[in-house]
Amino acid sequence: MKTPIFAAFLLILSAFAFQQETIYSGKEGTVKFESNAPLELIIANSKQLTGLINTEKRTFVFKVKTSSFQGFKNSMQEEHFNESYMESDKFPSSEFKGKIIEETDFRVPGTYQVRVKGLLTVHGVEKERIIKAKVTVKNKQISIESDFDVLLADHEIKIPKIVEMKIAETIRVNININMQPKS
Amino acid sequence: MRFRPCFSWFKIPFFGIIILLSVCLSFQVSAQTLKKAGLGFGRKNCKINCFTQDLQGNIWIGTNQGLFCLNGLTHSLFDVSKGMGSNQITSVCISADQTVWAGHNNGKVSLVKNQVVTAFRQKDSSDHNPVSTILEDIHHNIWLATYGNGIYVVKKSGISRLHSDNGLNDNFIYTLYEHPDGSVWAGTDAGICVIREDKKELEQRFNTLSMKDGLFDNIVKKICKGPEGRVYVAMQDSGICYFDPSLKTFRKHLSFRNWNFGVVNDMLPDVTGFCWVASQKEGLLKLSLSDKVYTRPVYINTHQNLTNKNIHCLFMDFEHNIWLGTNSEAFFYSPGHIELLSKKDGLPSNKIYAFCLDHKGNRWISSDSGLTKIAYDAMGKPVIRQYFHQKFPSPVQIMSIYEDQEKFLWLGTFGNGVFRLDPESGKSTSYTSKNGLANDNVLSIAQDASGNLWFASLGGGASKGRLINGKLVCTHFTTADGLGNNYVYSVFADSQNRLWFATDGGGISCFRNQKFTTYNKGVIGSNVVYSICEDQNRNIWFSNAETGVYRYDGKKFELFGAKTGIRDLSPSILVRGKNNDIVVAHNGGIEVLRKVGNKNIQAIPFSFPESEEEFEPSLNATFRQDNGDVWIGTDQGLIRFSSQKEITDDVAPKISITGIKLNLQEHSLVGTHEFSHSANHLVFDFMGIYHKNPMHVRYRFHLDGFEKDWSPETESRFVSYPNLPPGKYTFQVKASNGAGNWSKPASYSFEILPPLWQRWWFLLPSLSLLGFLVYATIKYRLRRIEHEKTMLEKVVKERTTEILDQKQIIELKNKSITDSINYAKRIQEAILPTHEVVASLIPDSFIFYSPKDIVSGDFYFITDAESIEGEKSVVIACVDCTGHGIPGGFMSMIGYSLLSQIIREKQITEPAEILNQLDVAIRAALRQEDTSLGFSGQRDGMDISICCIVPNKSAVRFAGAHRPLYRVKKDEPEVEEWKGNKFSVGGLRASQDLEAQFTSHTFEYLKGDCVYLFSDGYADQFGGSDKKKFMTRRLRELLIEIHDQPMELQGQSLATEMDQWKGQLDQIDDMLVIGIRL
Repeated sequence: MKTPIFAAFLLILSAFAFQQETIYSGKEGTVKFESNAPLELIIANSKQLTGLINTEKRTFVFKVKTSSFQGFKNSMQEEHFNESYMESDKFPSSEFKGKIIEETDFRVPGTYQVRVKGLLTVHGVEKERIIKAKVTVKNKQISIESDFDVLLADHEIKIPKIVEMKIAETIRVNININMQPKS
Repeated sequence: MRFRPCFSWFKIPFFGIIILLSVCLSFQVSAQTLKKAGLGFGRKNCKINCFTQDLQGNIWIGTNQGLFCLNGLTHSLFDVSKGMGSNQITSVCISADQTVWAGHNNGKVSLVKNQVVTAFRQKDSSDHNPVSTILEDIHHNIWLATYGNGIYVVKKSGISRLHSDNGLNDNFIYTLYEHPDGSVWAGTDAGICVIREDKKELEQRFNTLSMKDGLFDNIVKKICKGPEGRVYVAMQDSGICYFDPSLKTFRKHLSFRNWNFGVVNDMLPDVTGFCWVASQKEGLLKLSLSDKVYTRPVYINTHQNLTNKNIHCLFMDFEHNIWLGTNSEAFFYSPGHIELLSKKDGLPSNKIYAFCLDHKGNRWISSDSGLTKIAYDAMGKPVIRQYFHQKFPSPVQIMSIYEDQEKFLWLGTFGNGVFRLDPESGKSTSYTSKNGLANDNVLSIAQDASGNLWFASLGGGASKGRLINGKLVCTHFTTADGLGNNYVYSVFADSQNRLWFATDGGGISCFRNQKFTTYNKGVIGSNVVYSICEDQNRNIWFSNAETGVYRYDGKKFELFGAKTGIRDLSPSILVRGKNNDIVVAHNGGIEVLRKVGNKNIQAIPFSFPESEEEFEPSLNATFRQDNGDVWIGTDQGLIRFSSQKEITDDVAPKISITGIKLNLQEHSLVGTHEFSHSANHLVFDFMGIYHKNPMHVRYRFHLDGFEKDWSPETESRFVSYPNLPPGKYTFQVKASNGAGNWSKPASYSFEILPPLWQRWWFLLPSLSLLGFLVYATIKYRLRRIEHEKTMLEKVVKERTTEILDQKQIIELKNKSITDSINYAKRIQEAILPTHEVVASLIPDSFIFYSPKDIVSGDFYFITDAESIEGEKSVVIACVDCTGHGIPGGFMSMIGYSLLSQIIREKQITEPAEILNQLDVAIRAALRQEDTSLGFSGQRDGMDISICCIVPNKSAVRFAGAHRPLYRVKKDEPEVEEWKGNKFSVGGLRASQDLEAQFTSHTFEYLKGDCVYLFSDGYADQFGGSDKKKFMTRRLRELLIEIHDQPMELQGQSLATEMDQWKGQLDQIDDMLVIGIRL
């Protein structure tokens, strides 16, 4: 008599647990960008990348504070970055949200090369992007790594002619984040 | 005249340094044919999203600043100010009814037709997903694909939506394509969704082609039709593939495999066997669609105009121009015959001395910067190496490049002999006049069928050489051996194993069977020959410095010069092109000698690209590729010329009639085609769209029904026809692209209606009515006339009867009157003296008495008389009473009676007294003093001439009232006249004559004298040829003439004379002439 009840309880529990594991979140992911211009190399990174993934619906959202980037060569560089180009006061964060195209089963551990499609919002300007990412599922964690380019003109980030040789038109971006099931 | 190239030459020791140049870009296609689309001066950052073209040829461009419409000359813009849903145009399509459908990024759809913008309201207005693609299928349904909300299908019956909830595999639609089988293919993130709208069952309605079906990538960005009916699919990361219907799977062409060009933004497979690809990573590429031969990609990404790699969209128009849309501008590329490579395209220099393509397709270019080798890696990217580039002490000037049968390159130089270059290793060996050559200036190199190399030199004649153990062993030939001249510009080995030498001053020499045969100016027009080639028929062609081009068929030389159309008669370049074309190049451009149809060989001209400076082809800087393309080195760069007919050559402009004005007022083209007679001033506007060369478009027009012939060519885009008469017309206009290709005419038929009064439905009844009225009027008139005639006849009859009656009466009365008058005449004659009395009283006399009427107003009175004193005389009176006829008769009766009374009873014989007495008596008898009788009675009187002959005194006494007496003496032919008084007896008298008395005249006579008394009747008679009066003068002459005749005869003479004088004329008065011989 107790066995069926216990089995039902386990079933409900597992279902609940399963349901819980479709949402993954991460808080301390890293975003690194690199501007490789003929006269200057600018590298900066942030460790405040946050994100959510719904593995069932295959949707996601990632966000980073613009002002959280550090590692500039000097404070002037950082100041120009925040005030002149990214206008951090007006556009405090950059965001990427969308869906995962490949119908990957993230319940199965492994490493997957997927493409994600969504709206990348930088400097307040949205741009539809398809970006490749490597997704590693291991120990109920999802690690995501991706390298992609961002064309500054796509997000209306204007580079004055005088500094054309110091700032690249295309910025190389790398993200890395570990995500756990959201409790 | 020696040829002196326009470059200097130095001698420099050789060493080869290999310079590897990294990715470079655009060595393959000329920038000259890429033009900016005219979106307006000063317009910046205009991001191009889509293109399409309407039937009239206008190009519609969807941008982030609105929708542009370009016709080659001007553009028009449709944006929010004109009613567009947004300035962001994400898709555009033209439906069969020529409505322009524009999709916006905010989900709205705008329609443009006849320059008017309306909003399409059937689509869900809450859907703000961008409209990615618009398609019209064969049933004229409109498909609106969106980024994120599926597809709307607009039919006549209404609008429906295809969504992932009702079968669509994904709501994010990149592209739509209508398959020939009627299905619509949608490119999504989940593969291709094949939609059959006509099917009702879900399984049949939607079908997915994905990686499971061989698709290389599920993210499908573009699907379009390619040559041979293939369906091409562009994917996110796997490049381009095509669907093979026979295998029912997807395949890739050779050049599409190992895709490393990044994401495909757009693609355009064309009929030439190539596919234009807009890639995110490498910009614009041209890839071969061949499955048999790998052709490396052609990069078209760096150019003076096209600096931005990021090309979003491509489009091919009717002219086969390729339209490119970037982040900032739109361009279009027109393929042409000529491509130019220059420093702008990455060449080390524009001064090209020589060119060669080796067996691997590597390009060897000699310039004033040395020798450049352009090879291509597996991806088709150029790899450049430089040789002989050092300029110090001086660069080696390589004037000729030749690949021998062992695939080594022989480089002829100016002053440095020749080099034998290993193209793989880059190592070279030098041969000069010191070790084999006759001369160090080698302009041309060839190899005969036996493997001997021939070197043509400037000054050393020609050398035949062969490598033996690494040494160049040569035999030299000069003028001593029969060569035309030791300065040899070019050597050519033909298919018959003859060697031809073009010399400077010695004509052309042919070496065969160890013997030279030289042809000079006498047969070839000039002794300076530049270039030689051979055609497919084994004819030898060469160019000279004076007369143009010659062809030698083995027997004779034929000239092709100015008459053929060659513009410069000293062309330095002559080479065989495609098929049997002969390509001639000179400073003025290029001509292709080709037989056109049944005509003789003609020179088809081509121009060099536009440049500030003139192009000067370099002697022997020419190379013919296996496909017939010709490379020509010039001082402005390297030209690649294809004589093959371009697909765009035959494309005529799209012609359309854009407007019509009636009496200078705009009239809708879709309105009525019937115009009133007053609207007969027509102006037609028309436009021929030809984007490649809009300024070259020419027009001809013709108004059928008004003009006989087509107009001459014109640039004008309008024509006016004033004062067109009523009638039916068809206006036709056609356009040409300036190269003789004319479009089919566009036409507009119309009718100018005649005025109301000229229309048949008005004229016919009007004329009929008029005719009827006329007929009726005539009939009426005729009837009336008939009636009147009848009435008249009746009246006439009556009147005639009356008249007849009256005539009868008149006749009776006339007879009665005439009888009375005749009786009166008898009475008058009775009172006149008888012949016996006259004869007794005046025996020798005549009396000519001719009354005008029956009764006469003239009478004569003759009586013997005795005066109171007892004197005896004979009184003769000739009396002319007033009037004639009855009145005269009555007067004569009165006069006779009174004369008788005066002379016989009162015994007054004095003529004057007689007249006086008679006058008193007449006046009393006629009561002429009584004014109550009226004026007419007072006029009656008598003109009398009266004489009294007193025989015993031989005297005659005379008196007359208005009448004279004539005497003609015997033997004196002269008439004496005694005039009477100038007043009558009785009648009116002038006041001074009221109391006047008549005057007597007396004269003595001799026997034989004749006296004449006469009334005025004889002298007053009209007659003669002039119908004049006889006159007293004539009477006097007559009397003189006859006076000596017997009196009886005189009387006859007077009668005869009067008859002759009078002729047929009527007698106007009584006549009385009395003649007496005393």
